[in-house]
Amino acid sequence: MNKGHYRHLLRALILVAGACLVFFLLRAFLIPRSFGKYGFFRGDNLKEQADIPVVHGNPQACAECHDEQVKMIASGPHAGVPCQDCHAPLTQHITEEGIVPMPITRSYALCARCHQKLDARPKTFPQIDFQDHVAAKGKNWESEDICLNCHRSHNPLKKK
Amino acid sequence: MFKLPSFPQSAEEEVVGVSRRDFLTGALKTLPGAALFVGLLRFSPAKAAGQALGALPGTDYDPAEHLYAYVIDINKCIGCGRCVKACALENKVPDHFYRTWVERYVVSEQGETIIESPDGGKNGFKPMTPGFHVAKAYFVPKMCNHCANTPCIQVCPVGASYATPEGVVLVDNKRCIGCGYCVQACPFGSRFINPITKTAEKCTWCYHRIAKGLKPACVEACPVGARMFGDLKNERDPVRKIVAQEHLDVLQPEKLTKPRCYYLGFDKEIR
Repeated sequence: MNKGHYRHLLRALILVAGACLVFFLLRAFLIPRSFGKYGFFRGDNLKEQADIPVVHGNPQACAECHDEQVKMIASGPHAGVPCQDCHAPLTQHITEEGIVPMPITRSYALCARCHQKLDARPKTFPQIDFQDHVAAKGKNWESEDICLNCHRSHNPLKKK
Repeated sequence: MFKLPSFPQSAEEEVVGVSRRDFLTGALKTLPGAALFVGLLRFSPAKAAGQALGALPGTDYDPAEHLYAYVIDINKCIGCGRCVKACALENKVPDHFYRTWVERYVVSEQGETIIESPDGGKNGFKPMTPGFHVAKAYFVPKMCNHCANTPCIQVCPVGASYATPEGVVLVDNKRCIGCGYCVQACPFGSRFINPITKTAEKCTWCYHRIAKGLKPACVEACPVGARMFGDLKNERDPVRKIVAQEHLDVLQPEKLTKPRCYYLGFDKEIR
């Protein structure tokens, strides 16, 4: 066998090696470093997702400053209602610039969200037909904070 | 004529076969490729998958120690839409897009069904007149089911959609090219393309909250406890008990996606 045939083999070998080199270089370049760390995905993304700052604070955090209100809520039928539902997320209250007053909604629309009588609501859940309820008591429907004339939002069944 | 090279038997044959110079140059030319090949195999994802687990860097949260499940109690839901609002605030979901939403089902005695979800239920529900006698009505909160056998991950052409060891289905928005295949693949309509980032977006079970030991925003926001979230690997978790003992249903079980989001008080009209 003469030398010329080995040249052919060598050329083929170099071409294959070159193709492999290009393939693996591209692969190394395109596949992120952390790929496969936790599974078939870019592992660093888990950390990125976990590092997104929270907006709603820990529900227990409110009691640190507003112990009185939290106790009042806990003693009434609104015990299950989280503070941040009717007010706003904690991070809108405690900001980098300091403490910003929480928005306080007095509108009946806020109460109606849960207590407007609807067919789809569970029958055991306390709900009222707002117009009937207000008209029966001879009150002015137009006033925004109509509910708060008689009810305390933190403990609605306690007499005002 | 081509002849396979044979091992040199004698000194004369060695001269005819590969010379030392040819062998060395050939070896030198192929060596970098071979070395690179071996070197890169060590970074092979297939090899690394399923091991190298541990706490996320800088935290004491270990993804492998959890397996989450979500339970929605339809009998308790009052349709206040607080969950939708909390989700939108927590995750900065753009208007008119929803990672979770609440549907109202109104069913007549003949089985006619009205299903509606005005603005995803974000602003609550108003009284409605369905035009028939209402036999039953209820609210159904919906969201990503975080399926164990999910079609959305299968169709992703760039591997941006993935399931974490805890069973959470997430989107890597740095990899996502916004092709929208996953949006079409999801039988529950849980995904959308964010109009600002142009990448696929979905419920993450508030991964940033659960990694810090908090509950998802929708669960925290529910005033009646209709939404429950728990860890199946935690023996004291009430959700684990519910998943083990209660009669649960999932959405579209015929799709065989194995949702990790379970429903209590399911009804045959729900789809």
